[in-house]
Amino acid sequence: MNSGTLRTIRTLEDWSRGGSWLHRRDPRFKLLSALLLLAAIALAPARDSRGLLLSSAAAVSILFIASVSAALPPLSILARGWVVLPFTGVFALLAWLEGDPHRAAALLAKSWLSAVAVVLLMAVTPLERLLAGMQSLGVPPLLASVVQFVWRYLHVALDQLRRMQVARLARGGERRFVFAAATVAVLFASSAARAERVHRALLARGGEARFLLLQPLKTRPADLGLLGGALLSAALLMASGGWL
Amino acid sequence: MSHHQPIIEVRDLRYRYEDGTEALKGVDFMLHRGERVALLGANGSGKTTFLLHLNGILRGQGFIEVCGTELAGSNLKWIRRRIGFLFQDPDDQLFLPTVLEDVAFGPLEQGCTAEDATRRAHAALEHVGLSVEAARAPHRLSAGQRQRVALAGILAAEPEILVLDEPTTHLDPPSRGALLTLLAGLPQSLLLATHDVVFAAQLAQRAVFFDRGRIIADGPIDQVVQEFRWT
Repeated sequence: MNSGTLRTIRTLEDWSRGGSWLHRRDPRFKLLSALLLLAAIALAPARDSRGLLLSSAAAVSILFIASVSAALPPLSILARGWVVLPFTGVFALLAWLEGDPHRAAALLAKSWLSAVAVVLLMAVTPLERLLAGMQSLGVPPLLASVVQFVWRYLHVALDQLRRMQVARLARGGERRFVFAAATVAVLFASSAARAERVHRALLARGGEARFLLLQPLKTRPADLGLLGGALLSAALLMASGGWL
Repeated sequence: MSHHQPIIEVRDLRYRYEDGTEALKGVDFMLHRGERVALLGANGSGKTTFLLHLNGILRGQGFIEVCGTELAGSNLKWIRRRIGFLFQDPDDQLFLPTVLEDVAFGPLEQGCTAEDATRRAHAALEHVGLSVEAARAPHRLSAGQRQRVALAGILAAEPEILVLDEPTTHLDPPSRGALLTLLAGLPQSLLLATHDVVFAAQLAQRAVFFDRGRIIADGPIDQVVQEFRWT
């Protein structure tokens, strides 16, 4: 699981360093556009299968076109949305067992499409720009710092997890739940110790829990164009779900 | 400040951890401008605890003066600008998404403009031979490269004193050699806590030996190493 997660994170990092028209847009406008799309995906009326199918097809088309315009592999972007399905799948299963297969399908489709929209946002925006955009839009700096630290140290924690798994196997440990639980406990303890060391390093470098930007955010006319496109896309989604 | 005045002076430094462990039991120490001193001693002898007092990360009892100014709660930021601290594990120190941003962190925190911070960061990366990696994420680099980026991060902040805590622990021999060459060419006063005696002997002229929270020897590094058979 961890090597797959690491691979996904690294792929997103590589993609986010591209130079396409979409990559160059102000992260604040990309965030607002993504939020618009997410709202439209969530709210698009899907009273029956046909409505759901039409709005989902419209969303897939929009995300596909956006991926292609950003010089990213659209099928890979669409595929990475599956990551949320194990979670929403549980609720979809419950809905299906309650005799509401339409609601189950809507849950799966909307959660998948939402995840794809977020993946696309991350694939066209380097993390530091995304966080700067979030802060500029009013997200508390502390929250942005937490996201940044989680992203940075996820690699370190997953790498440690991999080493611990190898060591356990080398000692003849089997893949039992009790070993997995112990591994997680040790990982938590060592992460807490690392947090202490990182805080010391932050202090030693004269820093506080805030990060200053090397390249300030700048809005250009094309950014408004992106927002306009997102508005149109959102309207299209709403309309297609309503059979128009 | 003349070359004969100490750049760091510590008198009767004592520290007890929350669990009651007495980590420092009255340490006296002086570092002169341009001097390079190795801190030797067993694990748990107090080397790192001592170093963490120099920039006020740990606060014990006793007198500490850095660059002619007594360390106090009100001047910690000023003191921390004077001391560049290189930690054992570069992953603890590199917390920003790209190498360039991480190296520019110190100058930005000092109030430099973005342009000036970028210029200093590029110069520091050039110094450690990693200019080409500026746009990469720290976790994409090797351990040796990460340690050099961490060093660039402290050099960009232009400190007067370098404090290195076990800097070679995660390094392979070529990376260790590269770090040694880099450090040997730096003009700053240097304090180095390490178990790597060969590395220390190539950098430092003087060594102090820590034992259970006290400095029990202070002199030329060869003598100290020989006295305690620390090889």
